[in-house]
Amino acid sequence: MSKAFLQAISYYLPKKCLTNEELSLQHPEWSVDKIALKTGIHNRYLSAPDETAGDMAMKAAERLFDEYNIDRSKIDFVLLCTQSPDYFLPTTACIVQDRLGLSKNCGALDFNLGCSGFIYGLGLAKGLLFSGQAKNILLITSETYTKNIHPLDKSNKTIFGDGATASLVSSTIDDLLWNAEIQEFSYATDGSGHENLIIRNGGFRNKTKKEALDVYLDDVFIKNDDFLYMDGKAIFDFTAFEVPKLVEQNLILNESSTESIDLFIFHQANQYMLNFMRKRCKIPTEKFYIDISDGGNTVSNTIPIALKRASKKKVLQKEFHIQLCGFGVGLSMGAVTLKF
Amino acid sequence: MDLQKFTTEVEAQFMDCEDIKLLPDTPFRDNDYFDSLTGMSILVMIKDNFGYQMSVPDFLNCNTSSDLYNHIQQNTNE
Repeated sequence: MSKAFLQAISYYLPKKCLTNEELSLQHPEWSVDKIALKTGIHNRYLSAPDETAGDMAMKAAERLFDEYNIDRSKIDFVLLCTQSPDYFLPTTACIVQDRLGLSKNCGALDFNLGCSGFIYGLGLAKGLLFSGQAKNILLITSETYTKNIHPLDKSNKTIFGDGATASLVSSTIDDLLWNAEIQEFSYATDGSGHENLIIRNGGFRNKTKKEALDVYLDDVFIKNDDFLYMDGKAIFDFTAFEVPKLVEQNLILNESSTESIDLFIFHQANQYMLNFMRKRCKIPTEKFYIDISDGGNTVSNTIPIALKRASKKKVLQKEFHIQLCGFGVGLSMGAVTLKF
Repeated sequence: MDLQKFTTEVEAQFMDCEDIKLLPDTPFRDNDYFDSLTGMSILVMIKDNFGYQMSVPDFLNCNTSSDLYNHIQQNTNE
């Protein structure tokens, strides 16, 4: 019988760190303590001006190969999740295949998703393994969202950071690796909410060459269509009402329950939102992993980074049965359970 | 749900402040822990309990739990 295993994760965070103290200096009306208390974030890392998602993907993948002594010649597929690709075309995954020195008999593609991306990546990887199209998949998430944040957008500057992760997903067991069996997936989409988290200009729908204007309300910066825009309330409502349904649906699909799951790792959006979701999903505090202080919301990277950190801190242990849930831009959601 | 219980529910949305005590006539925005996330959470609580989607402008016109409660009563008992 076919099986798919998440075998290892490594990650990379850029060098430049933006602390709450620096944010407060940039926006004096923003208190350091309140930022930390509400978001749970102390540091976020910003990609260098000449550092792309492809560059960071490389660094994360090289770390994965080194850290787990993985033979790169065995990689037969690259799945790369990004919404900040190096180019419109070609797909960043092709460039990464070459720069990493992977086999030319390797499939490679990008897919465009945000905070649900890691879950969808695991789902795509499982499909490729089950259909016999691949045996060892390099799943990468890499984002440089901070390049798309307007300098006056203090809310998004406070939350988002850049980063990249690399995971190995395989069809076979390896005693030196995680052997976390990927179980059943649940997905949900509501494209009617696509305008609530969007970079409106730059694609072919609005391919304007003129710089967009800043929009203010009562002297407060609201948006500029060349940059990332998030309607916080709409995203909050979507998450509050839709995520608990998906979590429940996925637990039932996997014949699990909040009692039988040992650890829940949700997309690390911000601390307040996570605590709010934990309560709505009736998950005990001790089973709900929050690790957002160092790095912030790194979009599709937050779940694999949290998984790696939970493993390193031994919060995640052998025999654990865990549930992952990602939600955000699209609007898109996904959940899956893993058996360690 | 009576006003006292409703005020306790509003209080519960101040998740990062354990020792908060609100009275029905306490202006909840005066609390240092209040921000837009707390406000969104109160609106979700109202929808959960009353099935009523309160608009943001209406919410901004209310300063206390009592104001919110009265607004909900007026708009759900018609």
